[in-house]
Amino acid sequence: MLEIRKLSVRYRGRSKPAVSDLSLNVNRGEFVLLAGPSASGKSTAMQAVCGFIPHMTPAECTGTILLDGVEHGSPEAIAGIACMVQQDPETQFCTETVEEEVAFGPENFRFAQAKIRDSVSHALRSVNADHLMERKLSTLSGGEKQKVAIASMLAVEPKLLILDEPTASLDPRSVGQVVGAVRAMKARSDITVVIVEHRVRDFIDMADRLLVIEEGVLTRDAIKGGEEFAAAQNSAMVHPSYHRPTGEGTSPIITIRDLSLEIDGWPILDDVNLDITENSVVALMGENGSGKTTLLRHMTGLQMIQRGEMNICGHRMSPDRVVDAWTLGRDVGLVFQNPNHQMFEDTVEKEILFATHNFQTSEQKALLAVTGFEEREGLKRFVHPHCLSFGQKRRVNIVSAYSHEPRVLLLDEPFAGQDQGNVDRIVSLVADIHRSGKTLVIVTHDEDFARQFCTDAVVLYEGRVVASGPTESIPEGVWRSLRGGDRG
Amino acid sequence: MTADARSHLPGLNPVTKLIVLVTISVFVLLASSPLTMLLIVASVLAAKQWFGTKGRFTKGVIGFASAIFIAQILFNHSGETMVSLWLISVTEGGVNSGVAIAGKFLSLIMMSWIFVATTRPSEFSSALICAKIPYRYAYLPALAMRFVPIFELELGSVREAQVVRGLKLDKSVRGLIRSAKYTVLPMFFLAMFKVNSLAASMTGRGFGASKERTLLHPKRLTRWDLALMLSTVGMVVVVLLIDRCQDWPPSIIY
Repeated sequence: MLEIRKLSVRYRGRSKPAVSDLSLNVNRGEFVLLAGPSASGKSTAMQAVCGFIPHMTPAECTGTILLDGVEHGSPEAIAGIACMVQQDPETQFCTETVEEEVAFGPENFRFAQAKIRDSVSHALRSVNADHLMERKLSTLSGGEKQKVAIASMLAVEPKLLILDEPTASLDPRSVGQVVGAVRAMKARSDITVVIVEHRVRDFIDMADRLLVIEEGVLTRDAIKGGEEFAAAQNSAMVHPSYHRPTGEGTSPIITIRDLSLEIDGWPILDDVNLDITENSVVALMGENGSGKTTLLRHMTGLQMIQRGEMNICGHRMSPDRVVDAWTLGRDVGLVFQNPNHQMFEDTVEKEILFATHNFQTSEQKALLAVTGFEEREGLKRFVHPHCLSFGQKRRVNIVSAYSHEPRVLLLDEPFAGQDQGNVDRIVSLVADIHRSGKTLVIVTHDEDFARQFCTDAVVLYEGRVVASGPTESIPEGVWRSLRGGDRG
Repeated sequence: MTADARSHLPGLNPVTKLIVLVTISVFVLLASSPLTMLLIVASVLAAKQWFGTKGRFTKGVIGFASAIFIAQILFNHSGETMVSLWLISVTEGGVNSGVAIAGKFLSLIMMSWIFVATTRPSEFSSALICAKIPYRYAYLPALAMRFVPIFELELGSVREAQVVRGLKLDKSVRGLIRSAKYTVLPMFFLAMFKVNSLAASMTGRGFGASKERTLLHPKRLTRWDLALMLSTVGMVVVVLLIDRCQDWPPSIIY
């Protein structure tokens, strides 16, 4: 079905190729898991297969890509033969409703109206999403959006479907939905599927083959039934281990009492009560939409208190007593979910010093942070932050949010879309910050990290705290419910 | 808000709404009689209220229109003096031109808002395609309308990220330049990423592969649409002709 011969891709302005001399075959009807660390060239290779590279993203590209034995070239020629579902479904939607979105492809290929209706229902049924047909895209959960994105590609009846990290940024329940959808799709069709994933655990049992790319080169090709595949399957099941830092304080640094927020009559937070002690590392957990980010926004003063009160680093806040985000910012740092929302300068050095200059705090420690970043990452301080890899951008965000030494650092899903190597680097950074006596509140879906590394955990469900306290005290049923099982 | 607003004009074809909007806009641009302008503004505001309200937006537009009106009163001293207060003299010319310019601004913005709020982007593109506009172009306004709220959200996140890292901006020119400097870069990269991703998704599903496309829900013009279009255009033309040809009744335009 797919044959790649000696493919090399180098992005403009980069000295090192993203993909180097890559050759691989995917047979018709196969279900292939394409794994490898972040920035190893997996997505680049698949974008070249779809013709997006070099036609839409400029890059030097050599080698041959054959689909069904034919070299196609442009993405227009490849459309309908090979389709790619990208990481973020939100950016791929061009209509308003599920039906319109799934019908978009068949409409472009000029299917007859009756056939469009059939294709839409069949594609949605294939991913267990036929009940979503009449819904607006804006009302769907993350997992449902990803299912619709897959269905919208299936509707054009491609021979090869590529899913690029389909579960990145999803909570465990949504991951379960997407994995279920892929399983249903595999059972109901003989389409060739390539799943690009660095987290192979979710899909390895469905895969016929495992291909691993490292630094742009194919390093492993294991077929189901073989020893190598079994070894990969076993290693995927091994959970990462973290060491909990020591030194938690006893005095409270964040106290929240009866905090509630309603928007358009809909409860976002409901009677939240919390005590967070100094120098603790708190995992803030819950499904997407459970109120985690809203709680962080309250802690930074970005969201005004509607009901209840909060004391953070000595700043007392209530509906009648507002402390602005700028004043709180000296004591409370926040790292947002999307790295690109929070990079304002044209060099890494300026980016790290940004908050230090704004808050007019001492530059000395911030400059040490710049040097530390240079040494850890092996890059120069004059590099443009937007030229960094996704993992490096995330680490620049953390160092930048911490350079003015706030007493509390809040991190909103720092591990989203990161491979294990990058997760380990972030954990090491977090451990360093904790060692300097700071308090950290980390929004995460990573149960291993929460249970092994964090001193405390807070679990939210539909805006309510359903469990909080030292991680050991959180009931097993709550962890199970976070994994997408029955609510305990 | 938008969904509620849309339900008020369920069957009307977006192309009809567009033509009605353009026709009335031409009339608004030609009219400068203060009485006519006040009647237009009152009708538009009543319609705006009927289709739904959006507090901050309405306040902002009315605030800006008021600023235009006040500026005309302060700096336009043509015509007879109506009131004199210390150094400020309010003249007939200032009031008339203030009502005319502020009224035009307010009516055009509000009418456009009503159009956007009562039109689903995909219906609009479908209607344009049925009106024989090539689909590559017909999709542009729909995509733009879809991305406005997304970029609004992104801009909000960028601003919040600036605030928590201590960027305090005053409202001076220097402050505005600084704000733009720290907003343009992240917004540019976010926009590029989204546009690339959307373009790949659309191209991958055959957008642009053939000259025409089938529509699952075509939005064709009905007899009612044609009647509304013709009557609106006809009424405006007749009013303009009468206004130009007769001395009485007094001009509603000038």
